[in-house]
Amino acid sequence: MFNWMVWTLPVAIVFIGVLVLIIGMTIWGHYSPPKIHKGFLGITTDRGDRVYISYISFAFFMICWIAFVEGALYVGVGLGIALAAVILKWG
Amino acid sequence: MKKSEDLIKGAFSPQKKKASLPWSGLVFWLVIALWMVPVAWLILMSVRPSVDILSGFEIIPHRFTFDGYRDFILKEMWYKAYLNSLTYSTLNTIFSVTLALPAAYAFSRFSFAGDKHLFFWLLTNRMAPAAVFLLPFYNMYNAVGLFDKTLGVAIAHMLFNVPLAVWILEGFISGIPRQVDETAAIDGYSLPKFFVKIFLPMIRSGIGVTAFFCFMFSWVELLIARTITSTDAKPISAAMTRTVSSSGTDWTLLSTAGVMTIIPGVLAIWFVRKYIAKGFALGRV
Amino acid sequence: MKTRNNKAWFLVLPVILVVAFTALLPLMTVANYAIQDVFNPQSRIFVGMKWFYQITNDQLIISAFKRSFQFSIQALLIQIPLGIAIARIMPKSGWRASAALVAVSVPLIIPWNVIGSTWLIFSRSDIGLGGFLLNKLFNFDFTSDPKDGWGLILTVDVWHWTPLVVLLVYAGLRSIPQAYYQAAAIDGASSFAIFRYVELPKLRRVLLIAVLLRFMDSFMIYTEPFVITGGGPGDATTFASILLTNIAVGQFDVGRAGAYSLIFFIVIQIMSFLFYTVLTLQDREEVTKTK
Repeated sequence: MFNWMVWTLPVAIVFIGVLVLIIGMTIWGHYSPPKIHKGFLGITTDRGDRVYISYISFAFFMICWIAFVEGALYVGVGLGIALAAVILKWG
Repeated sequence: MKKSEDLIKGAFSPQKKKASLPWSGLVFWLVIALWMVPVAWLILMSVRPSVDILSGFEIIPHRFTFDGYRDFILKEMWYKAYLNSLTYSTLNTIFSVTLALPAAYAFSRFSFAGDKHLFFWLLTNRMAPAAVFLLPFYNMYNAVGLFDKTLGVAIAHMLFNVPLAVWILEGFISGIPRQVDETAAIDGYSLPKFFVKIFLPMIRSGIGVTAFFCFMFSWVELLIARTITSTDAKPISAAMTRTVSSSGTDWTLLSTAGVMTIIPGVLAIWFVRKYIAKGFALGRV
Repeated sequence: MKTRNNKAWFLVLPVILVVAFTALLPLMTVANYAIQDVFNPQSRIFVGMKWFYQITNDQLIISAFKRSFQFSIQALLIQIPLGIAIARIMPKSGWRASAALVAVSVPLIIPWNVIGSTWLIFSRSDIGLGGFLLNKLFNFDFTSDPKDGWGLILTVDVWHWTPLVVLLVYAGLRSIPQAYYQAAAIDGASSFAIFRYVELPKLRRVLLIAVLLRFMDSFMIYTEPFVITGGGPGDATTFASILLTNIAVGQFDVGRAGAYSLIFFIVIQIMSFLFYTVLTLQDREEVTKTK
C-alpha cells in the first residue's frame, strides 16, 4: 500500500517529529494559551508563528549551507538548530 | 468652513463629474478590443484549412472550412477527451465546494486551536507548484488504482481547489452577520439543519462564484491532468498537446478544439457575472 | 469576537484529510526520493545529501530560479498597475458592466495550453498577425532572439493574468461607498488625489491577494513557455518549473527531482510567508493594539 512512498528512516523521524510537535503545541496551547510578543524580528508573533519561522529559517539556512559549504554537514545542522533556537526564544 | 461653503455652492451649481472622464469608456473598449485580438485569431484559424494557416500571412482568409468542427464532433478521440475534462472538472467542483463549506464556516465563526496556522497551511498548498507533485502523484495514483480515471484527476485537482474554495467561501460567510446563526439556534435549529435550510440559500451567490473558480482552475490545468492519465481519462488539453508532438500538426482541428474549450468557461461566467468580481475580493488573506 | 470552540475541528477535518492525501503524502514521498537513489521500490540505496549537493551547485538550475524570480517581479510590475488602470475605467453599471466583466474574464477561462498554442501561431513572424506586424516593425522573432522570447512569454502572462487583477481591483472599487467620492469632490480633490487617498487605502486588501496570487503563479509558470518556446531560445525562458518537469517526467530522475522539489517547495514557502507577513503587517499591529 505505502510501498510507492519508498520510506526511509530519517524522513519518517522528521515527519513523526513534526506531528508530535504539532500535537504537543496544541495540548500546550490548551493549558497555557500562547502570548503575543514582539522580538528582534520586528513583527508580533506568538509561539506557533515562531516555530514556523524557525522551521523555514532552518530549511533555508541548510540549503545555503549545502550550496556554499562543501561538507561539514553536522556543523551546518548544529548552526541551523542554534539559529532556530534563537528565533524561538527571542524572535 | 471652506467645505461647507463648497457644499452649498455644489448644491446649486451643476457639478462636473471628475471621476468618469468622457473618453475613459472608449479607452476601455479599445483595450478590450486589443485584448481580444488573439482570441479572434484563434477563432479565425479554426475555420481556415491547415495548409492556408501555415502557408502564409493573411488577415482576411481567401477560403473557409468547417472540417475542424466536423472532425471534432465526429472523432471519438476528441469528443471523448472533451467529455473527460467536463467530467473531472464537474466532479472536482462538487467535491471541493462540499468539503470546503463546513470548513469555511468553521474558520469564519469559531476560533480553535491552531486555526490561524491551519489557514495559512491551506493557502500554501494553493501556492505550491504543480511540478513538485508530478512524480509522487504518478506513483500514488498508480498505487491506489486511480491512475487514468477521471475520478483520480478530480481528486488530484482538489490539491489547489479545496484551499481556494475555503478561502473564497470564508469571505462570503463572514459577510453574513453572526446574529443569523444565533437567532436560528434560539429558534431550535440544529447546526446541520440550520446550515442546509437557512444558511446555504443565503450564501448561494458565494457558492456559485466558488464553483465557478473551482471549475475554471480544474478546466484550465494541464500538467497534473496529463501526468496521471494515459488513454481512458485523457483530458482535452492533453489530447491537444499530443497532436502537437505527432508529425504534421492539424492546426485547424487544434484551433477548433481551442475554441470549443472556451465555450464552457464563457457559459459559466455568464451565470455568475454579477458576483464574479466579489468572489476573490471578499476572501481574507 | 469569534466563539472559542475546539469542536470546530470536526468541520475542518474533511478538508485536512483531503489535503493531507493530495499534498502531504506526495511531499513525504518527495522527501524520501530526495535522499535515495531509487531504481524501483524494491531496489534503492540511501545516498544522503548527494542530490542536494548536485542541485545547489547546478548552474542551470540556479539560473532557472533567478530567471523565474526576475520574471515574477516583472510580471507584477506590469500587471498590478495595468490592472488598476483598466479596472478604474471599467463601466460601472448596466449591461455595459456585465459585458465588460465577461469580456475581461475570457483569458482566464481558456486552458493554458490553448493560450500557448494560440500565441504560438499568433506570434510567428511568418504567419501570425502579431508576429508579422512586430517583425516588420522591429524585426521580431521569438524563435531566435532570446529577448523576444522573454518578451513574448511576459506578454502572454500579462495578457492571461492581468484580467484577474482587474476583477479583484474592480470588486474592491465597487465596495467603496459613494459618499467617499462625494466628500473628495467637495474638497476639490484631483483625480490622482482621489486615487491616492480614497481608493488606494481601500484597495489594500484586494491588492494584497492580487500580489500574492500573481507572484506565486508567475513564479511557477510552466504551460505557456513549454508550449510556445519550449524553454528557448537557448535557455532564455527555461523557468524553474520547466526544468523540474524535465527532470521529473522527462528523465524520470527520481532522486534529483525529489531534492529539486523540496528546495522549490521551501523557496515557495519562504516567499509566501514573506509576502504574507509584509502585506499583513498593518493587521498584525492592529491585533496587538486591541489585545
